[in-house]
Amino acid sequence: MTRSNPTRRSFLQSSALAGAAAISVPATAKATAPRKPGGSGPGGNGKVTVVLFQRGGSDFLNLYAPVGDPNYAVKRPTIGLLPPGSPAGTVGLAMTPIFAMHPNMAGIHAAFTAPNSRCAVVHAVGYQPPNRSHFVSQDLYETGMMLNTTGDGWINRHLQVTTSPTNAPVRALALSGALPRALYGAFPCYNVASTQDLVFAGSAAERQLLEAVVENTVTTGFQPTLRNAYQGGVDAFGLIDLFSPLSPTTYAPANGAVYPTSTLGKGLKEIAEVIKAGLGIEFFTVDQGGWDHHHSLVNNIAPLATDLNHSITAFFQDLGALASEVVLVAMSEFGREVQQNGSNGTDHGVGGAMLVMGGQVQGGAVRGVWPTLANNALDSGRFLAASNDFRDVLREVLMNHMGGTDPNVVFPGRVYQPLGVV
Amino acid sequence: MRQPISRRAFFAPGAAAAAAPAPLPPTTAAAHLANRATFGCKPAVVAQINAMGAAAWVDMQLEPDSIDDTALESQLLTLIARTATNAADVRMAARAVFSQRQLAWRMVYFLNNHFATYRPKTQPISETNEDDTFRRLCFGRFADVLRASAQSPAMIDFLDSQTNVSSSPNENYARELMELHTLGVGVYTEADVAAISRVFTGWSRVNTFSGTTAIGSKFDFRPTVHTQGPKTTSLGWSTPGFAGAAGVNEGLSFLEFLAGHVETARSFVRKLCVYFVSDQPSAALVGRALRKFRDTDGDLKATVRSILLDPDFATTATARGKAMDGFEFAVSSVRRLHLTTMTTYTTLLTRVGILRALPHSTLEPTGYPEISEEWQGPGNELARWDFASDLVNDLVSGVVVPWDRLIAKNPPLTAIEYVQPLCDLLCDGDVPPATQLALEQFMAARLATVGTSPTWTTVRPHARALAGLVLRLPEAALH
Repeated sequence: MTRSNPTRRSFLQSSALAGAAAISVPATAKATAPRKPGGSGPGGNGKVTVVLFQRGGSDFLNLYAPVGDPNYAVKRPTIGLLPPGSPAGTVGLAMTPIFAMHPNMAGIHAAFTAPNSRCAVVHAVGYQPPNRSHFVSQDLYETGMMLNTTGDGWINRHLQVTTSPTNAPVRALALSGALPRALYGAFPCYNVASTQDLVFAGSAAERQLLEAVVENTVTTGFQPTLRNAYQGGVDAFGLIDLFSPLSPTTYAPANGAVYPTSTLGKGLKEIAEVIKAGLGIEFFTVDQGGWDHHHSLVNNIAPLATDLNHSITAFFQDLGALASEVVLVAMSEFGREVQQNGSNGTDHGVGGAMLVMGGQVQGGAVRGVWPTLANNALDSGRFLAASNDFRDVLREVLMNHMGGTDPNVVFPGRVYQPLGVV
Repeated sequence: MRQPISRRAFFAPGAAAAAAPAPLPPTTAAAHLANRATFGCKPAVVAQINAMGAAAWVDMQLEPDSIDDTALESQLLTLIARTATNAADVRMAARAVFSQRQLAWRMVYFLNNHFATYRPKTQPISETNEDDTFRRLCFGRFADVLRASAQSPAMIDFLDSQTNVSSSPNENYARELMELHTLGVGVYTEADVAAISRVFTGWSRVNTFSGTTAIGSKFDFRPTVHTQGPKTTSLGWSTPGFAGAAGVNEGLSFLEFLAGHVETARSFVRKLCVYFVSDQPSAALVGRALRKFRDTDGDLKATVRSILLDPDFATTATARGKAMDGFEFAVSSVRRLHLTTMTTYTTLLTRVGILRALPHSTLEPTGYPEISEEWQGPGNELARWDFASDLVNDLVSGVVVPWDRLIAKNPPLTAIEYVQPLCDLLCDGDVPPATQLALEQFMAARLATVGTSPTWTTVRPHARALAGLVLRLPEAALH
């Protein structure tokens, strides 16, 4: 996959070092950042997109609740948010006459209701035909290609058809233990669970030897898995060098921002430091797990909503003026069934929602077609319909925030329906 | 989870063009078998395979109860209480490192991940019990393992079966049962999910007691919350519905149906081949294993035997062709250090968590990925390097490296006498000559500083540095 594609190894092997038969110790190859093939098509503009995936299928009817829809309280008698102004219980924060935000998301709500808001929600989001398997639907959201769960990712294809304005050695980084499918593909992308991991634990002599081994061993004829193992080592040293100006363990967020200590909070904090360092990385991905609430929704979703709120709020607070350069998109693989189940939870559904913040986002509104919760409007009689396509939101981010793309390559077959989000 | 298996095919289209795989020579083949059928190759196991022959050795391992494991099992009785929060993890790690019944525990490790449950949402004792149940059934019929999983309190808690009731069914178990445990996506319809969730209404658990103390749970069927009446699927299975306690038979019948379904055989056997053989097992090998599985009514002993003794099992295409997951890398590294015992696994398991592979801990019901690339890449390399370095520096509590047994009673004088045994032990000797030469130069420079009468006290720091390098080599990450 990415690691077998042209990167630093091919650069080094085409250089004078390539002929060395033995490992040279000490290494004469000073580690440089991984090299990227040049792209074609429009150049990027140096802006940044952060993709936050809420894994598990978020109940968006509880995060951005249509409390003004007469069917809402009927179908969610015990787990639904209550309309703003209700005297007690889980009372939503007013967004629009129909929608209210989860009460634990006051920071995002403040951004949504602020004058000249850069915080928008697109509701009833999905694709056709819908799929209610976590794993199929996550893959479709990440390939951006319908009926294709094994192809390359939409971000990767965008990188293939655009160029880095700064010729940056790394254009996309996932803050996660494994590379998300959105980054899979021919363009080299990287993942680390934490930027704090980007150090070599060992002596200079040990590093020198290991670096020489992974860089100078001729892996021609090795099987792909072993070649990947070598490439992983090469990339590790490349990333260590690229990130050496950073200090994630001592990084102090600006403007009084306080990130949660959660995986998401830590990830966004590290992303903020990287953005400020100006390394030219255009795309970041980060995950928030645990949204599969078949059971006890009210109690289970509250801490996740809090984490989402505090993490995103701290992120934009920390970015300060740079927020105009950064768009964050939060999404999940599907929404959940409208009717609550017997466990006071909800089963897998269809239409979800996306939160889009930062940059020049046209905020303060719930965008897209709202199909309503009326019985005859529901998908299969049970699910919020996917009236808006997630690819149109991402397309607007790429076209209007990131400086352009080739939509036919990134979202093949999708006939764009403008949403006016970005 | 199943989908990623095909990822490599997409991204490495050139791989298929490589030279036709050749069988491994006998010495390498024994190490390869030891690497896949145990949690890390050891010279003693290779010697045993060479002495017995691969088939006889596999047959021996397929009869775990005939293998004496009392030393470890009696230690486990006092090492940790079965109800302790991390008891199942500790027992899994201890068995992976020290059990003589390696193949059985390899199979339990696979089954535990295939039928993944998430301990924070279950009772710890349920995970302990479930692992022991899988151990008892791991070389029996797949249908029995499937039923054990369906009735396991861990699964009942994890996928919300205990709250799946007739008044308002919960689809969580029904969907993952068909998508992940058996048929695979695309075989069943959404209407099937809805119908099958009703088949399993009332499948619950009750606490078990010793006197008045709750000591665990067991399966419990609750007829009063079971959906009455017929249920129909698009799969060719239906039930008229049974009243009262007989309602449980609907679920049992459906599980038996799933276990015998050809699509279940296809997905499960292929995944088993990916686990034991290769990210891209040969179609011939998978076909033979599949036929064995079908011909024997899902007999796992016959199926595993078919896989491990298949002509395409040990070839130049499969040897050192799989990246170990984080748990496998950690326990394999420890196994290779020839410890006689460990009294604590807490730090080791903490480190396995950092390597993203703590057992019983996947939040999503897919379990951990089986394919190599999910465990590769710079982030995984760096985490693995940190573990490797700390392990050989005795920074993982419970592990004190016995240098006098690994290398020699008295420290040798020449670098090669360190490099060779460490490359053999930690990488099965599979280290490129140029790398080996560089390691010798590295060690020679250090030996020069300790004089002509080295002691383990003076040499140990250098041996540690060398071993740390060997364990960080790309080859050490693969098996």
